[in-house]
Amino acid sequence: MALLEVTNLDVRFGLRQGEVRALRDVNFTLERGERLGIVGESGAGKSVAAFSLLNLIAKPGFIAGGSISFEGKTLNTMSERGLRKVRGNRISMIFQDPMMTLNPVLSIGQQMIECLKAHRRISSREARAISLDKLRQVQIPSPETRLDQYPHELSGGMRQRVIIAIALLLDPDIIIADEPTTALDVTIQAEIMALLLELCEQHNVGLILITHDLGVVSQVTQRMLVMYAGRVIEQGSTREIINDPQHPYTQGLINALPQMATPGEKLNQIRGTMPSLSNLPSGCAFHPRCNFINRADGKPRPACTEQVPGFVESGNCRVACHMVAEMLEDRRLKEESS
Amino acid sequence: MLPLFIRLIRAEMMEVLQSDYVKYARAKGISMRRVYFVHALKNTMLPVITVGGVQIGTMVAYTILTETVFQWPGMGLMFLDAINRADIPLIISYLMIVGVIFVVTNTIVDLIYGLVNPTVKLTGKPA
Repeated sequence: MALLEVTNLDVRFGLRQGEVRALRDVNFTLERGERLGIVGESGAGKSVAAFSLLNLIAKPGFIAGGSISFEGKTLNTMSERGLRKVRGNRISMIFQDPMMTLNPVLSIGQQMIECLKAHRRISSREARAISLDKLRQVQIPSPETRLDQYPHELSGGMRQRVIIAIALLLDPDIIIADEPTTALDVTIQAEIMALLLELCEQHNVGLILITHDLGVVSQVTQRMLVMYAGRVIEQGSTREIINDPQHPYTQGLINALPQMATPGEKLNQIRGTMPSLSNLPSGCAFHPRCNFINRADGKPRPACTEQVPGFVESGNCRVACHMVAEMLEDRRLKEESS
Repeated sequence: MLPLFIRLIRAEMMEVLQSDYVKYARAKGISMRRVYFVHALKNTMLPVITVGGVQIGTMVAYTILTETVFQWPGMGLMFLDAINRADIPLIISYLMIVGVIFVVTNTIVDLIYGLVNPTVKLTGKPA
């Protein structure tokens, strides 16, 4: 059995205008020491997925269905008390903006020690020693002085290192990193990512990496999910998806990478913007932006506008698109003729 | 004075509880009590202390009003009498004492603020 198993996760937000389904039919598993990437545009539901794993979605959001099972225990029905034992202890999180995640009025040491003390019965001195050790592991210069400093005295990169150290404090099984590098300087980004990867490998920690950056996903993760409008549209082995994306959306994303454009010309893009979750297009949510349209009249196929696509297995991946079979057929014919 | 504080604390608390560091504290598995009383309340207290300092000042000034209305013998009433009698030395001494009280309370508030908020460094203390 997998370490973490998410089945049919359904998250909704009860708004005045009615319920908005922020996530639906999300399924994935994570094995011990495995690294999983979640990619998608802003608003695709990546962060909601991450927060729902620990049942931390802010009101009015709630988990409406499905199950999150961690080591055989169902997290979404667990009591707040039980969840608290998992949070930070077995599954820890790294947030997006290191400037905002550390409490400005508590020293680094206080914030590390309180986390240790919440989960283990240890003395302050021991907790301090462990904190110091973890700060060394994240290669912060002069860790002894850092413990007594406040967040505003550290730079963004150093703060994110501190947060990584806190994430590793209790030797968790899984770290959920919600865009850990987006708020950082580009030069620091690679450094922090390399550090995170190295530490995860060293401690055999599972990593769920949420990011916009396909480059990072391809370097760091073994498997990935591509999300669009609250739904997983393609999932499977990272290498296969990056090298041979099946879903038109994933193809568009990879095509949009600056490296894929011809020099001197405009960058490729996916036309249109992501629909609002409260007003999704019928059928496949991606169909208004999809390039796969009837050549004859330039309209989307009826199947695409009428039916929500189910998953089609393709190699080691699963794709939610009506057109996959046709696309593969097209490609085969092209290859044969050439 | 209390309603003002309660409303201020409530408003600040609502704001602070939305912040990332409160969410992060919860994600660390810290008890809700500690999240509320240590993580959130400490941040909430910053503006409350500032307003509190000003309020103590106004409280001293308003003794004139309360003492006149209720005819309590006190500094405020004495000051009003002094004005009626055009007793200049008494007026001056009252104003100076009130001024000193203002300065002292504000200094104390600033010192407390320095203790609570680590981003405020009082001069002379090494960073």
